[in-house]
Amino acid sequence: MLKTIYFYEWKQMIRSKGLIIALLVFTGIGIFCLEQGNTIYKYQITSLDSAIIKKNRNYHSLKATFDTLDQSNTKKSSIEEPFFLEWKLQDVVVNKISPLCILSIGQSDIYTPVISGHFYTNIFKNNYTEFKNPEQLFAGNLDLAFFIVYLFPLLLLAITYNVQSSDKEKGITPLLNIQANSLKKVLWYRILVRWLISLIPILITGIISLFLLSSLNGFSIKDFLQWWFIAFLYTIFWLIIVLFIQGLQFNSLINAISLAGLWILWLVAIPGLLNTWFNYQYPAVNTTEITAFRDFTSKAWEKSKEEHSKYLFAIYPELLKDSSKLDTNNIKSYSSLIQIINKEKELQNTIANNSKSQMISEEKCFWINPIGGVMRSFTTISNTSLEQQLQFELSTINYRQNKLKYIFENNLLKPHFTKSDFANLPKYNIAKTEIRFAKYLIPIFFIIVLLTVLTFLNLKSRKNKKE
Amino acid sequence: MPVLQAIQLSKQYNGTAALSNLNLSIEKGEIFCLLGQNGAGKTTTINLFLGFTEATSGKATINNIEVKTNDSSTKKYVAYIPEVVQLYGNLTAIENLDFFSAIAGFKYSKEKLAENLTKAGLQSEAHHKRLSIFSKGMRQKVGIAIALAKNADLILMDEPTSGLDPKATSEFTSICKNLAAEGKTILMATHDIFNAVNVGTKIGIMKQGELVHTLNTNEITATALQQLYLETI
Amino acid sequence: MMKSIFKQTFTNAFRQKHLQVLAPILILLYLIVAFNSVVAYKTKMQSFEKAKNSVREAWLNQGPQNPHNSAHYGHYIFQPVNEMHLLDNGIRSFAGSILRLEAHAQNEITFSPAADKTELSRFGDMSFAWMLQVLIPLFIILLCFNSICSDRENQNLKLLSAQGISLSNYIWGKIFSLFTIILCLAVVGLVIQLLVYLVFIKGIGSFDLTRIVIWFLSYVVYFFILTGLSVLTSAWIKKSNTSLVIQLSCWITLMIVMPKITASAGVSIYPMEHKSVFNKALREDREKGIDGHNPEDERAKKFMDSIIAYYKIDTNKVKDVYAVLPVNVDGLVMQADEDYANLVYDKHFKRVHETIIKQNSISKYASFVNPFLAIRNISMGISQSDFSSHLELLFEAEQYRRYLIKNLNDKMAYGGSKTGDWEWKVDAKYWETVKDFSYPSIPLMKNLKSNSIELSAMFFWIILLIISVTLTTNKLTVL
Repeated sequence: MLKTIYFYEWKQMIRSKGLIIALLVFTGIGIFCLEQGNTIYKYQITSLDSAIIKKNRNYHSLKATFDTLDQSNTKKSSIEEPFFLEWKLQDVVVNKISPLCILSIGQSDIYTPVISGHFYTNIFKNNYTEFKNPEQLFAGNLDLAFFIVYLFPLLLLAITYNVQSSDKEKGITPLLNIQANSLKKVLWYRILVRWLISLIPILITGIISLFLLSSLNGFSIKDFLQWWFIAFLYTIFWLIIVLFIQGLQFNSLINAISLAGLWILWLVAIPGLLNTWFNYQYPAVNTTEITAFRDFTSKAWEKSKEEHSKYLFAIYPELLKDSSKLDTNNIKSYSSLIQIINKEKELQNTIANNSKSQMISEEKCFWINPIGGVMRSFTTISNTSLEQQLQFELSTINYRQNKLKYIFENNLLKPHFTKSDFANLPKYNIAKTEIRFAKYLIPIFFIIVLLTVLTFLNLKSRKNKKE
Repeated sequence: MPVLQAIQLSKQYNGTAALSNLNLSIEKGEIFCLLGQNGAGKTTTINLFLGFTEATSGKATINNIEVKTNDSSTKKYVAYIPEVVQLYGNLTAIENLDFFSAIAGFKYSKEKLAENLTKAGLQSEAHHKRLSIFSKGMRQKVGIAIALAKNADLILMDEPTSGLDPKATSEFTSICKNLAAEGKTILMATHDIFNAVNVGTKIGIMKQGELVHTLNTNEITATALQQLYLETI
Repeated sequence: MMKSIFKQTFTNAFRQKHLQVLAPILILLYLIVAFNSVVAYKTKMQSFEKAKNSVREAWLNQGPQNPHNSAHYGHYIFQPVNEMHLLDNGIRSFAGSILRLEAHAQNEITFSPAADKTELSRFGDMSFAWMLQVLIPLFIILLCFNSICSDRENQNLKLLSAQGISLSNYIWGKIFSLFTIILCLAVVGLVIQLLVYLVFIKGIGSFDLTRIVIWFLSYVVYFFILTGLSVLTSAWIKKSNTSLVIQLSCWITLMIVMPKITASAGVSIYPMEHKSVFNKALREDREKGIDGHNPEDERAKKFMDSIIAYYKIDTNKVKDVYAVLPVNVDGLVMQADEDYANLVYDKHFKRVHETIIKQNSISKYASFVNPFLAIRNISMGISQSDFSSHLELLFEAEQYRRYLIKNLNDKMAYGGSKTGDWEWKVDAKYWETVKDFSYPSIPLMKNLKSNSIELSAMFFWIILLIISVTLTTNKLTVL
């Protein structure tokens, strides 16, 4: 029977000009989404590459300078001075940009993948942040994740909302009921075939995306398949919703209103209300804290040399032995910078904790906002989630802190900052994050199972009533 | 002077003739029933007299005024009862009547509206109920009330008894006869041969857009008409 | 006849079950949005006032300080909050909220609230403007999708036509009556918002009523256009469910997909230069000027020589020229550096801002095919939450930075200090003489002018609607 239904549904569909146009339009939009993702990815990669090239050029040029140094005399050359060295180095820290960012841009258009690695700067003042157009950010991106999450259900709903009801309205149902052993099976198979038809644009864009992404650096077939698995799961979610609503045997109009209502509820109303609530619960960065940080910085630099020495000697008691030989300017700088960077870290942690609390609350709400879980899974695999950005920012501060410590310790404790010291400068390593997204999908998986059971029970009870 | 007249009236849809050279004349107080298969041209005839569609050639007149699609001058003489009288389900019978009468330019008191509904055969307890709970027969009665309230010379009916039970059909028949007795002219398209003989004063049988027979009902029995109808189509 | 259509449409609409269910939900949402706006406004206003006052306080309480240290200490400008933001917050979540003003650099505004949010924030949040722009059109569709085709389906249209109704009266009657219902729903929303604001926000009396009236009037026009289009679609499409599916598809395309497409198209057509390219160009241009912090700089030397010449000091006779000079040359050099840098910043930032304006122009012109884009931009414009208002803030902030730094450099130059004396400090009272930043208040006419394309688009839609209704009444048949 499946074969017959499959054959004739296809025949009907292929003969519908409207559907062919819709499939072509959706495929076109899908390809456009890929192109958009690719444009943003390329833009980010370009800024990343230019930062890395510049950083490497400076590093090698400085290394060459160290080759020319004669460090036999007691006087340090300017290049050994921490600030000068750091300024010459023009250090930057870059985040990992996954090619899957093409599929789900997430927040990567807002976040910055390049951050200054200078120990004397701070994370809140980043000269590498690309210019943003707020109106464009406000409108949002048209990426493949958006295409699948928002647009795919519409195509599915448009071609399935009246599968059963139109038959009923045309009086075909009694005929089918007599002809077929099980009307339920006919309905399920027909919806299944239409669901397969609605997958055509996704399949085409999926194949194109594989060709596009596989040639890129850092492409992981495992991540790619995981991404598409989530997309597939999401299409099943809508298939089950259609089956459930059709099982309730409303007329075409109520079916259309119910399915469109569910779409609006899950994709517009619930996320909108939740965002409104979270904006209130977790307000953005506290402006007063940022200005207080400036005052803290200013005061730290204004402290007397004695205060700085006291602070630093408490950390490095070994320095007390030869304290008279130490460069007081370096003591002041190091002490100030340690305090400032600690404060910066504290402030960043406050911001991060606020964001993390919001993320946890959002996760709890995935039970009523299951599509949020799907979005988070997409961004997690694509390394475009807030959690990954926060991790990147925090690891950047840690790196700067390590570098500060390394450069000043070597400067204060050793007579010279040597070439080997330079070569052993701390390196920034992107922390390998484990991609865990299964927990975000539990609610949607649960809803799929629940609706499947309810649909089955509903059809069974109707069958019993009929008998 | 005939109330309704068709002179060489023709209508084509995409080159296919729906009505060919119809010549028809109905006098005041007559009930003319059009019989014919689906697609014979009955509804097209009614639509042409209502001005819903434009004739390809020929002319249709009501009270000697030519019916035109963009000219509503003949509409004041015409009332219409469609095959399916749905009206507005969220409005009560009296509200529906009030609305449709007002559209026709009549503003009646509540009592007058109720009177029309009663005259159309709708029981008074149903007057203030919404049409969404009405049976087809009850809605048909509201439709008749709308026609009555318009007080038009001519009533065009498109298969008005389709789907009605025998009692409702019988009630409908007597209302039509009363209207004719009051001097109203009725053109009715129908499939119901027995009802046509019962209610009509004249009967026309249409085939493929042509009026092939015109008969007086007092000249033929229902059985003979059925025989003729079957031979014709 | 119109009166009867009005009465019938009203009664019919209010007796529809789905509207009886949805209208209270809408009112509930109005209340949620109103309370949320109040809470957000209060939080933002408190934070803004607190930050603004603390920055001014810190400025005034610097004590004796070297003016140039103070120039580095700088000043902060915050994203301002006004009453109109209660109604439409626009792009503000995506624009920066803190701008540091300091010597030598024109910083960019940072800390956009969206940067601390997750990807879910991109689903958007609810505001009264969002409800009017997106949710009310859904109501319009629900009310109008079968306004004419259901009459056609159940043969009421035939009956109405037989009763003598003119199609023109019929369509306009439907449009005006349905529009009145929508207007009632929107007015209820506005009244709820204003009442909640008045009750829960003290001192809200400063509300600019003219602005609100114009703002709401633009929505009235928007609703009229959408109601008209929806009724017309219902006239053209013969089946109710086809009409519903088509109208819902249009809603999604126009309100959800198209804004993203136009925004993306803007970025593709007018790509933004990379920051590295910008920084390089800026650095190269700046290097051509005076280095205010480097006395060895050739241009700085020349500038200093010109000062000496101006004060007619004979360098052959005077040993310590700078001790004799009545001015502190460091202050003058730094100001010369600033003056030049300002030209450089103007040149480069102008280019960036022009690119953004060009990118946004795509959405502006797309208003002629999508009335949603027109109202979104007009609404943001009148509410001062659009990009041009943001740009206005940046412009005013930069003017203030220039005023501030010049003031400090002048104090350094003419305040009595000597060249090279970086330890010299001004009196604690001096800080009061530097006026505080005054947040710009943009006149309504300027806001409207910056949205002239969108306003023209609205006018175009009205004309198009009138023409379409006229053509439809001529072509529409009851069959």
